[in-house]
Amino acid sequence: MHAPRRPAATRRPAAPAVAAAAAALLVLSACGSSAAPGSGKPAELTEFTPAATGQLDRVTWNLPTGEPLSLDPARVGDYSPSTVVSNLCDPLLRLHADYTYGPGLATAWTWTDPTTLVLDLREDVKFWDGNPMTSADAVASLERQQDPATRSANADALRNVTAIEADGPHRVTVRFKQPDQLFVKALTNGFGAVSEASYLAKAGADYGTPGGGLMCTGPYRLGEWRAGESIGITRAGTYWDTALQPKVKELTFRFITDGSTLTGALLSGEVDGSYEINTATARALAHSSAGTLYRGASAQTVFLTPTGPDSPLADPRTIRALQLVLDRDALIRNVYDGAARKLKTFVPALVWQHDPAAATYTAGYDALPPAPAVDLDRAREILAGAPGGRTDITVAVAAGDQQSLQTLTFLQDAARKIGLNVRIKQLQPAELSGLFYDPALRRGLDAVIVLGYVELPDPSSYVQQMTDPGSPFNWAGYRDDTVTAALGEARAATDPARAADAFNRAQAAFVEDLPIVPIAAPDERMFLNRRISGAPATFAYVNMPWAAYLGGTR
Amino acid sequence: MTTLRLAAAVRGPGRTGPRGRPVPLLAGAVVALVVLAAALAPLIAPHDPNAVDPLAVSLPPGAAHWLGTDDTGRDIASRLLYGARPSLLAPLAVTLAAGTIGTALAVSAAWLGGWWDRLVTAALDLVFGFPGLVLAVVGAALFGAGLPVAVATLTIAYLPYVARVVRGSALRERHLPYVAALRMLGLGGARACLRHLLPNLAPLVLVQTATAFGYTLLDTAAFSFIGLGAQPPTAEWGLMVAQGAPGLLAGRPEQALAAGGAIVLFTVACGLLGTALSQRLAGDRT
Repeated sequence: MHAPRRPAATRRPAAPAVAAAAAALLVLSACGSSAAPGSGKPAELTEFTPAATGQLDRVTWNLPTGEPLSLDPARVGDYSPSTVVSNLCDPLLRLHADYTYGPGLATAWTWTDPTTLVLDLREDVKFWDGNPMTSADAVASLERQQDPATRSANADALRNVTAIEADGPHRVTVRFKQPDQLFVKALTNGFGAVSEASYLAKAGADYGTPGGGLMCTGPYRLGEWRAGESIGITRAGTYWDTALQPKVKELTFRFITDGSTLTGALLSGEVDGSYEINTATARALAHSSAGTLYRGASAQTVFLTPTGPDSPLADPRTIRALQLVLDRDALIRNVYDGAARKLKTFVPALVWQHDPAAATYTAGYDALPPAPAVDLDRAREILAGAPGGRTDITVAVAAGDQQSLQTLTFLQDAARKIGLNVRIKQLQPAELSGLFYDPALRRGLDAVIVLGYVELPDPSSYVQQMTDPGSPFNWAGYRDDTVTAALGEARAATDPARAADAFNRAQAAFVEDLPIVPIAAPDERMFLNRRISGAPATFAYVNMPWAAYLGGTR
Repeated sequence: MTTLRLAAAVRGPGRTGPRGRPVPLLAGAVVALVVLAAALAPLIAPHDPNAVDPLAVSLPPGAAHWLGTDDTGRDIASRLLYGARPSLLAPLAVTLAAGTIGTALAVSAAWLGGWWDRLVTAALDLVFGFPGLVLAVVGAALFGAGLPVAVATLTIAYLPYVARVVRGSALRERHLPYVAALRMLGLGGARACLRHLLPNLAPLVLVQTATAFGYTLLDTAAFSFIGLGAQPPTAEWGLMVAQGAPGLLAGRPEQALAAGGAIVLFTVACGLLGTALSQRLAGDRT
């Protein structure tokens, strides 16, 4: 599970002169485009924006969740750093826009036996400094993530690894204590990115920081990183993928987190594009002549989860009651302007719908009971069967995250009708991010509304993090041996159909009693100025070199 | 002589504002109107301020909803009226607490002098060095976000504004002949302060707190705006501006503008009233 996205409006002016601002707001509102809420019908789902036709010198892109803390590929696991690093550091396998994957820096991956994986590397790849990429670099990049000091965001992928060896200049052998097909899928993100071994040794802990820099093989190289202001990336001299040559010379990333400011910047052309456009901004941009708003499939999901075993939400009966008061259709219509999906569980379909075993996954999903409709009487009956429980529930939300706040306000009102008092507690973004890792920050809370995403093209990994008894994200202490065993089986299965079948068994069990309230799966929304095009529109952008597809429209 | 000195102390810069001018009257009327609206909110608000309606989301102003509805279908006009309550009560609590504690500290420091005066002055200088927002963030980190914590931290932040001015005047007052005469007559320090010093300082304290009221309103609204003050679903003006801000460029500016306008109007009215009050007091004493 990834920490929730930081809200769009987290960096508001400190101690705003609210009074003086009101006059400016009036002017802004008069000058801005003013599509009425709901009138900006979302476009149809798109995988790629129209192909770019021209070269461009410069593009300015926004990171709506703010400045990355680090660009070390081993440590990225959040929106902003992934958006940048995916264009800098190529992984061994490449994620595609439809969440399938294929060759990247590795041309082939072969299980020579159930616990031995052989990766054959390309021989024509060079780092930005001109040095050739070899298996020693791949081994160093993977092995350093075994060291807790690296703070790898995907260290769990190494759970079953016993050895990583260079087996020739362009071959890597990975040995496991038990079969683990998830390892291969993890090679599609920062975990599988290859950095130059000698540079890693030299940079040490500073790798991926403004001072330490990066040395990778991607289509862009890291340029100037002005802390607090911008990150520049520049087209690499030569890029090994001849079919994907970048058309933009320089990209500058800005860190505009305030929705209104971003809207103004996109409308004026100060910023050319951005992923993760929120509903309010989407409404303002929907009819703009400045560019086009695109909608793509996403692996993001919004849900409510208890923060501890003492939470009233740790009781599945309370969860079931809450499920029955939430009008998901109204919520998707009002909070997302229809650009979201109703889910039976909390794993979006994009994660598996193009898998070789998609039919099995689909059958498993279809067999689940439908997302419950509103039934207040039944909800009250269920709660009546859970006597003595607390009826006050404190739910954390990031201050400024208007979509989550709006969702919770609907939930609060609905819960009140069955006697549950939902208290909304706004936390500063750093506090909210911190509570995912620090139990002390979860004290006094009963639940948190989470916007997470499934990074790997595999549903089991995400679910495991919330159901495994030892997982740091299983805050409610959920334990179901059937689920644990089935997910373990899915992880070990090299046959996709067997993995899907095992996942389906786990899914059928955890939807019954896992203390999570799935709310919606928002679509990916992106905006491109009319002078640029070509970027993928799906959420896969977080782990694919999306900027290399970008180019001019003339 | 005392009254003359005080008159000079309370006379502020700006327009002289002779009596009979319409601006103070207008400001007073605005303040009175807002206070009245806050008091009568349950009687005059057309809807429950927290009633969510998924079928009436983001409606434009109309007969059923004078200022339209917000992004969860709540009536903006009703929330504006109810919102006046916490929006006024919180700054009132801050100014009363800061005025009372600040005056007590200032008068005791001026009267006792010595190490106590040095300690109080140093502490006030220290607090003065921290912006209110920083104190609010620290307060929220230690005790959680919410209006009570915001009020407490703002009270601390506003202490120096009251105490430093009052201490200066109290020091001057302390060395006036009538105080020496009182002491020679055997009056104790506490009685001299309570019966003579404080009444003479009262107009200054009143002007200081009245002027500060508008600023504290702005600050409490700012705290709510950034999530450190009032918590949802409370109807409070700063929170309403925050929740309505996304609508500004999306064609629904009513909530942010209505709440922002209320803050502007009341703050300006308070400022004008404070100025007029200080001028009135100065005029009366001359």
